[in-house]
Amino acid sequence: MSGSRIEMRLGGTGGQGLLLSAKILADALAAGGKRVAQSQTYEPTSRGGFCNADLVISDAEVDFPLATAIDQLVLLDRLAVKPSWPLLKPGALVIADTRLCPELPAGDYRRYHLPLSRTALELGSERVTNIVALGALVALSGICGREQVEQAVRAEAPRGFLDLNVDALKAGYGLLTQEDGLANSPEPPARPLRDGIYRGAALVAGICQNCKAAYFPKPELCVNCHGDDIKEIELGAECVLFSFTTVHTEAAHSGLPYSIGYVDFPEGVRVFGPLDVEDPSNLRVGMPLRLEIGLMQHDGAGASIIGHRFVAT
Amino acid sequence: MREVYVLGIGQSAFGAFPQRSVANLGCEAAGAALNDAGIEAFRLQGVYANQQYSDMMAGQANVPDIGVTGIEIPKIDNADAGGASAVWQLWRDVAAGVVDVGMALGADSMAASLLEKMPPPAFEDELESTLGMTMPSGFALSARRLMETQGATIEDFARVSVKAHDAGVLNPAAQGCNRVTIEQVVKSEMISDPITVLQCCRRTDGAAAIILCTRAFARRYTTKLIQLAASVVLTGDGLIRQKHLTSIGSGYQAARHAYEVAGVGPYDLDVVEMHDAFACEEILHYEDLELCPRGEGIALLRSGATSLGGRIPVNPSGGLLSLGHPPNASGVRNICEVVLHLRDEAGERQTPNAMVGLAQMIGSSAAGLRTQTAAIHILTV
Repeated sequence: MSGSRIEMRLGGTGGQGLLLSAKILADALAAGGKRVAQSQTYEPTSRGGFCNADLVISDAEVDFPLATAIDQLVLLDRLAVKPSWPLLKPGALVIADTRLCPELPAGDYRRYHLPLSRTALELGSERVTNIVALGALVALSGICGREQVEQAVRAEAPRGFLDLNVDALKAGYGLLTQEDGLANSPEPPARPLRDGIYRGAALVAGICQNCKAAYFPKPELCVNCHGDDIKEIELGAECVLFSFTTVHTEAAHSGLPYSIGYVDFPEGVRVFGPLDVEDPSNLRVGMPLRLEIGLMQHDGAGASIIGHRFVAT
Repeated sequence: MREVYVLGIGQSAFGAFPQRSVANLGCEAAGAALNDAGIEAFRLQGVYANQQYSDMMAGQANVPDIGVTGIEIPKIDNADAGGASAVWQLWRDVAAGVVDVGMALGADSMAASLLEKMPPPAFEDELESTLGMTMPSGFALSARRLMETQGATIEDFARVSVKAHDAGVLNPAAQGCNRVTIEQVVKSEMISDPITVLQCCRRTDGAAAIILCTRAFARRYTTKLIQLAASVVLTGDGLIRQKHLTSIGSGYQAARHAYEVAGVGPYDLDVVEMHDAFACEEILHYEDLELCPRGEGIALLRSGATSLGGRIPVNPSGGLLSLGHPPNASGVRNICEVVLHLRDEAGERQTPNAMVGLAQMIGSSAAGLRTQTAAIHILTV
């Protein structure tokens, strides 16, 4: 293959406008004298299924039109990580949306976690996430001139949405000046299992002010009385074991055997979690336990996750 | 609302048939039901099919080979309660006057299922499943509470499995079913304590079909009129949403509702078929169906009342524990089993003088016990 071959992939789900972004970029590149082959993959579901738009860019005629080793990858959904990862070149540029694709596997690549969809929302419509991503990609890769891309966007944008799309493109450029360096850290910071469920060493629960039902995590709405006045409370560390089991066989989980159970907090909240005990045969209903919040041993896709567990006192 | 009657029932063999397709199994059950009803395929005005983890329109693929075409064939999903939900849909349509006669069909081939290749994904918004909850372990937590509150032992749970296998060996449809002993069940591989592998149902291939019709239609073909007096499907709070972890909220509500619709009470029942994917589950269902007062499920089991020949035999077919569990076929099959008893055609496992029977199914998503669907059917002679 010729040395000037560059492969790009825009990955996400159907309906995000990935094909449109790829076409705009292909037009801009072609206007600049490059040869471009564009292809796409998608699942039969028109919206929500995984979808890729690939570009192979070369100075000479493209010898093989499909992506085989990706230099630049844009991820707008976690679904797109798995099918794209095996094709990633060492040292490749990876731009991922912080909200839609929060976790990336570890590896040798340049990571840019950017708030693409949030930026699009702030502009007024999540539907221009694809154009924000295009702006960020052009700014980071320098693959073609900004004027060419802007021209192509003007040519392709749906009528009535021209300004929004041009603004989205510029916002995409702008993301880099704000976040470069900051987002490019090699390891992401550990994140909680779910946002808002922990505060320091405590669990954040909710008590319905109408019917006094208690929940963890704190819900938006009380499913018991449908009241929406839910008061936030922090649970203390002391709790009592309500029920437990030790799991010996389960393909989906590693680290067998492991113990899990429900505990009751004095605030009236029942919480599920792993039980960290040396000998599961010592577990008894009613025994006192203590809450711990820390790094979980088993995590999803390379990122460290903070979770809770219960330990014997 | 019109009264709804059972005209025909049919099922395929239940077992491991890696060489047979789902359509092939479904076809066998559908053909058997048509034979049993004594009607031609063209009489059917609707087929309500169900399959889990299958190709698109797989339900519809079951019937063209037996000459069913040009009618409505929706596919209905409700997890394990899918087959029973297909019966419910048909029951409503016959009762409401949409169709006069139709078939509900549940078929699954676990060997050919996508589930076989890929474990079902965890519910992302359920903290329980991300923290290690599995379906057997959810029921294990429930079993632990039965041990705590009712003095249940692992031998009690094993007894449920022994009872199921004792009945299963009498059922010609249960292929490869052998008796087991309490000791064998207790000593089998531990899955999630106290649940051992012989307290869990096996994955199985199989299909079952039922034909429902109006009274006027039924009277043209049979003198044995069996009424499907109530069909209720409710989705609601699952096992882990219950304060005591020993009840399925939707199961209790659906039973209450069905008794009301049928005008019978739990003490009128002569025979019961239920979802016993895990042995300890049966105890919860005894109480949710009000076969005994709350808190006395273990005592009811120990009394022998729910064994063959007891006051209220539960799972005389052998249940999921001995027949295995093709999820959607099970919900149709267990209704067919009750019909056999009401017709006095259940052979060696016949409940004497059965007049009123109930079939129950529970559907849960692959990893979620937070919300569960319960289907209850009550049949009367």
